[in-house]
Amino acid sequence: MDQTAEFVRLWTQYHRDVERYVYSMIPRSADAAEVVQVVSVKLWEKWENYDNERPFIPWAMRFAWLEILKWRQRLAREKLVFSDELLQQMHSTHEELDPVMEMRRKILGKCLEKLNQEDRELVRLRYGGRHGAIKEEAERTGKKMHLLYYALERIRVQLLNCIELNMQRGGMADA
Amino acid sequence: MHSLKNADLDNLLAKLVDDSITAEELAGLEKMLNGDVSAQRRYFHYLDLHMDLQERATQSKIHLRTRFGLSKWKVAGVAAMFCLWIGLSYFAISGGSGSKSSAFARITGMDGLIEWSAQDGSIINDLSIGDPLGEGIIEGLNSNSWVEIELNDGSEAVISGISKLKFSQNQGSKVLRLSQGYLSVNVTHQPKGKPMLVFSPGARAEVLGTQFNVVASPESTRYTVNEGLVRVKRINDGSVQEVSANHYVVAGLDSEEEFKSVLLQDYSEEWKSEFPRDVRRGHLYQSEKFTAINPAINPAVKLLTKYSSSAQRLLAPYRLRTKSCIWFEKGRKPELHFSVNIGVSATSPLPVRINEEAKFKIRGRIDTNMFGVDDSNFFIVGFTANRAHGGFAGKYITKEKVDLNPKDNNDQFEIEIPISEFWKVEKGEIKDSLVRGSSAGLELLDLWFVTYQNIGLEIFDVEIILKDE
Repeated sequence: MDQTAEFVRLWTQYHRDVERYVYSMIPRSADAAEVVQVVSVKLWEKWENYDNERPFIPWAMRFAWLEILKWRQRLAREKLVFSDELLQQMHSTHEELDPVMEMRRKILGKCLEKLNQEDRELVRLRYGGRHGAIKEEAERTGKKMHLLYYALERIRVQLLNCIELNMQRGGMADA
Repeated sequence: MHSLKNADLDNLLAKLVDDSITAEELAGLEKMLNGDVSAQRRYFHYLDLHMDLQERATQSKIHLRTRFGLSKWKVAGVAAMFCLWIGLSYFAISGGSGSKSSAFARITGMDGLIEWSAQDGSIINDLSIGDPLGEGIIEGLNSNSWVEIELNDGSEAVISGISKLKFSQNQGSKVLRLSQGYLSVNVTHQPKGKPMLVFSPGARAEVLGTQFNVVASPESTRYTVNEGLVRVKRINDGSVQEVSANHYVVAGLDSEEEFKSVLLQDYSEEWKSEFPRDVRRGHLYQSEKFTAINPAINPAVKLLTKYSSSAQRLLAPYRLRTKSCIWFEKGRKPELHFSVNIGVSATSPLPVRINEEAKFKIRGRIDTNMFGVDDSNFFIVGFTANRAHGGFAGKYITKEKVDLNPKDNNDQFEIEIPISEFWKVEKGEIKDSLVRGSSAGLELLDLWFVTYQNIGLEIFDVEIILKDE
């Protein structure tokens, strides 16, 4: 297969994993997006060195990790950035967790089905709605906006608990 | 299962993913995570859940995307992937435009990175002159991009720079939707009762046959009519202006602003950038000095700036830093560059015309710590120009590298570049060339700065001044 096409194929398949990883280490979407962009460019630049006998994801994650560290150095004085020490710890924890993440994502589908109609609608508004949809919902229903956000917080916890319960039942608990 | 400790952690994580966490709370979160693997696992699971919900919501609504829009992360993610993706796809995807059925238009000229998204969802980046296009979206992806298309009724349209144009047909009317950037249209006579419809931020225009230019920023659109008549409706309050030849109108999202057709006799030959108003591309940020002095006042001043531009002076000045992007020039391999793009005409109170004696005064900074082995100490400046009475005129760039030596001034620089030093980019079959050609009398649409390596270029402001002053 053409080398460029192969890169595009692999990146298409795995770029979301890299995005998730970068976002979890840099939880500011604009910054994370910048870093992912740089990572993708670096991967392309180094593509000649990629050993296609080895898995793509760990190779890509190494570049992502280096770019996260560079980003951290650049913004060292900012308050909204994790410390070097914590980033190192998080990096190790993430490596341990990686094998179970895909399974958790599969279980989420089942857990979403268990939500009641109102909660599902709120999730849809928050994640699928246009910007300001929660505010509009608050105005429409007369509910206070912060109460809707509390409800979302509750729903997320409910989903996390549901996932963990299912993981335990399947003998795959990680935490 | 859900301990009190987890409750505190979840509360902070909810604030984190909802973008409402404060610096103090983040410090609290860091404290909870530090040395606690269980809390770190919870953190990853929480953020992964958040992203998974975003992905699911987006995927399940692909066909409703125009109604509900993309999630914030999705938008950021897409934006992040944008440059490389297109650059790579340029090589990877082959086989023509793929939209030969129901051809709506064909490409008659182009340069730079151009992307075509057909209605069937396919994305094509290897466009060539002569390619037919069906209904879909055409985008200019870089500052140096432009594409000219001829619609099947003989009308011509040019988009330039970072621009996005969707074209389709609705009950016999041609519909153009410019969501950002620059569009110049030469419309042939349209059938009675079926005007061409042009949608842009804040406005909708009906056109029967004319030549006009549209410059769209996220908050407003300027329609400049060179021949004929264009009926422009401001969307938010429904008010209408008939814009005749040699007139222009600016339609903003804010209905408090004046919406009136103005004779195109006044223009400015001087201009000064204003951020964030003029930012088209780049990473905009503010010094934190002001916030550090009095964090309570900053939000109030930010709010004030919505109503009074003078309040802007109270805020720490904005700086525009380059973003990375794959850069494509005809005859060269795509390369990683770093660029910013600044809009001029979309938001300036008057059209800005180039005077032969004018010069750009640029203030900014480069980070000498980021300098590589060579090719570091310079940037390239370019601008897009329009003919004063209609139509896209071309792109101009500095012929020579702009050498800097800012070491003595904390890496900051202030340089002046005469207009006469800008050369016109002439497209060729195999590669582009630069030719000496005066841009005097043309209207300035936007300008951009490019570096070949990431040298942390930041632009503080740009002025166009007349040489004598």
